[in-house]
Amino acid sequence: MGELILCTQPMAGVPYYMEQSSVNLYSIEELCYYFLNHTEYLDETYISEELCVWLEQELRMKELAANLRERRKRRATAAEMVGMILDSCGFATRDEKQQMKDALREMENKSELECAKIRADRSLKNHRYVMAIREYIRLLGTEDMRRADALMLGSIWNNIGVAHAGMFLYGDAAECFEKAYGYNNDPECLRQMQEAQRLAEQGILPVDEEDLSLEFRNVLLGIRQQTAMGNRDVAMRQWRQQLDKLKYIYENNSRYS
Amino acid sequence: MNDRKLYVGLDFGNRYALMSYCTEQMDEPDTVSTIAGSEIYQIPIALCKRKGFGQWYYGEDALTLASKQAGSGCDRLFQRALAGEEVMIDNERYTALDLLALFVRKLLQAPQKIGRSVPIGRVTVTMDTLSREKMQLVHGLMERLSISRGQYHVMDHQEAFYYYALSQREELWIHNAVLFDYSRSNMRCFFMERNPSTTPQLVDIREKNYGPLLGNRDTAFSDVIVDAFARKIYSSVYLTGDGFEGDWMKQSLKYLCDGRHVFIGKNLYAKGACYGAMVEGGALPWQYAYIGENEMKVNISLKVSEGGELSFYSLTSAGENWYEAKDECEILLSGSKEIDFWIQLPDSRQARIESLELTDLPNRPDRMSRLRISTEAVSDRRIRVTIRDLGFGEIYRSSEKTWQYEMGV
Repeated sequence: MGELILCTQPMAGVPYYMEQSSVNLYSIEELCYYFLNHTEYLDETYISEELCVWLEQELRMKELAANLRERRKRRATAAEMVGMILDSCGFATRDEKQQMKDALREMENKSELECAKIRADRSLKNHRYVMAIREYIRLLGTEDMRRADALMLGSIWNNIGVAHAGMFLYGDAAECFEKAYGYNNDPECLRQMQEAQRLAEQGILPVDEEDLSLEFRNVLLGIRQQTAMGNRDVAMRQWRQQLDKLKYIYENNSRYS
Repeated sequence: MNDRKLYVGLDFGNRYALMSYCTEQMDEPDTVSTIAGSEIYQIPIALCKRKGFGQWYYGEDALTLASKQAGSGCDRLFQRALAGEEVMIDNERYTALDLLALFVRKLLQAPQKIGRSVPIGRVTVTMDTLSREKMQLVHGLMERLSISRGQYHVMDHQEAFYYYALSQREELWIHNAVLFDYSRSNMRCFFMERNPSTTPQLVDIREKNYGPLLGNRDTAFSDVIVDAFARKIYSSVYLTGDGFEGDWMKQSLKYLCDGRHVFIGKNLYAKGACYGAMVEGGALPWQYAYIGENEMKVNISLKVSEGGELSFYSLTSAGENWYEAKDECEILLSGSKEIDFWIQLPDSRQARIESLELTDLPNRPDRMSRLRISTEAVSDRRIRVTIRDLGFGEIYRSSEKTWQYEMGV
């Protein structure tokens, strides 16, 4: 037996552009969906004045916009403001709302570094590999990380390796696991490195290349050529650029070209 | 601060219009008369443009001007507008609908004594019978008058009688009321009966057409009265229509007035429409419900989740004018591709469920199919349902698929 969830607000004529993910959102339900699926990234900056204007003018949710503005003024938490948005329509279930609030509250009163680590770990857990790699690399570049101990650094490089392996980039994964092992001497990292090397040598790909789009095959060809010429950095940059382009679709629709 | 609002009842016939108006501060509606202080309420639906001046005259003034060859114009504007006619006036082409709008605009300026600055609260248009073409005409008319969709509605004469009769003092309807309409040589009788045991009180109006009064009208009408009142008590009797002009009712009038209140007048429908405008505008409390031939006979709803709570979203309600019965909503599908429509007759506690399965809707995750459900009545008992797939924004593009069904009783 199904259910019909009534949409109480019309769709927007002009969408809200979620810059962080390069996506256009047309309704309050899509906004709620976005928040529920990007919990690890949510913070107070997502509830911007631009969002309030869009809610007010495009969705005619004047009261919600006014309440959010008032919360922003008194620097309310992300949990409180995102919770108000989820409560404004019937999209999210009670459990989803509670999980969201708990996840956001976990980020409260934590340092920037701790939040970044949580975000990266959540992205990895939710199979958002590109986002996870980005967050870890950003984390490694911070001043605080330069003073971090070997265990922490090893853990991060291990996770970067896991993210690469998740995208079948076994060669890169092996390098990351090697770095991790170099920091923490964890035999598990060594084992993973060896496994990744083996897979990389076998040239394992998840699908027949014939199934991939022409664009993607050309990208792979380019990467292989750069790798053969020893330009690994160039190859990695090309790979990351392609993945950024496909990032949102891949991570939300579980399909890519 | 002047927060008065004007409630207007417009009665359109083939040749004449009547207009009644009221504010909350007035005891009862007034009717515009062509001569101030008189009871000549019928205003010819005519316009005339005075030669050389560019000034427009309406009603009797327009006919007078035209008859003196002092202007160029036309009459029967309502009929012409219904026929979609165009008219040449002073070498300029006009649509009859535009002229009708000008006529009504001038008519709406007539209630001088309450001041011209009173904004319109609501307008009710009444006609003998309704049709799709007449409804569309009224929509076009109101658009030209900048009267928004929520500020007007349309009813037939039976419904106008219902509002008029029940707006009178209680003694006049406690034992129900009867209306005799003698127009165009045809005698029709409307019997209004009220069921006091329901909430709201359901009102029924039954029509009986007695045809032309043959031979001696007074005697013929007496026979009609005897038949109409057979074994029934009515508190009041209303007489309306051109046929009652003249002094021919002698015996019949005596019989009518025996134990009953009798009223005669030509502005009953306009006043009734005005009362209807006040009720719909919230200016007059109302505890009755009427379902006539133009009203929907069935309730059709969707069971929806709104803010986590289950409720019924009404797509069409019994008692709503079926010509205007349209609705639209958007929902997200959760759990299955089936949509259940709940169909119920107003006097029944039971509901029938009609399930529609959207078999070729693309497979998507839960709650990621937004559908627009539009309904439009095709009769007083059936609606057409159109369902359109809207996808889920850019995340899942719309398949552009639509489904159409008819359902009802």
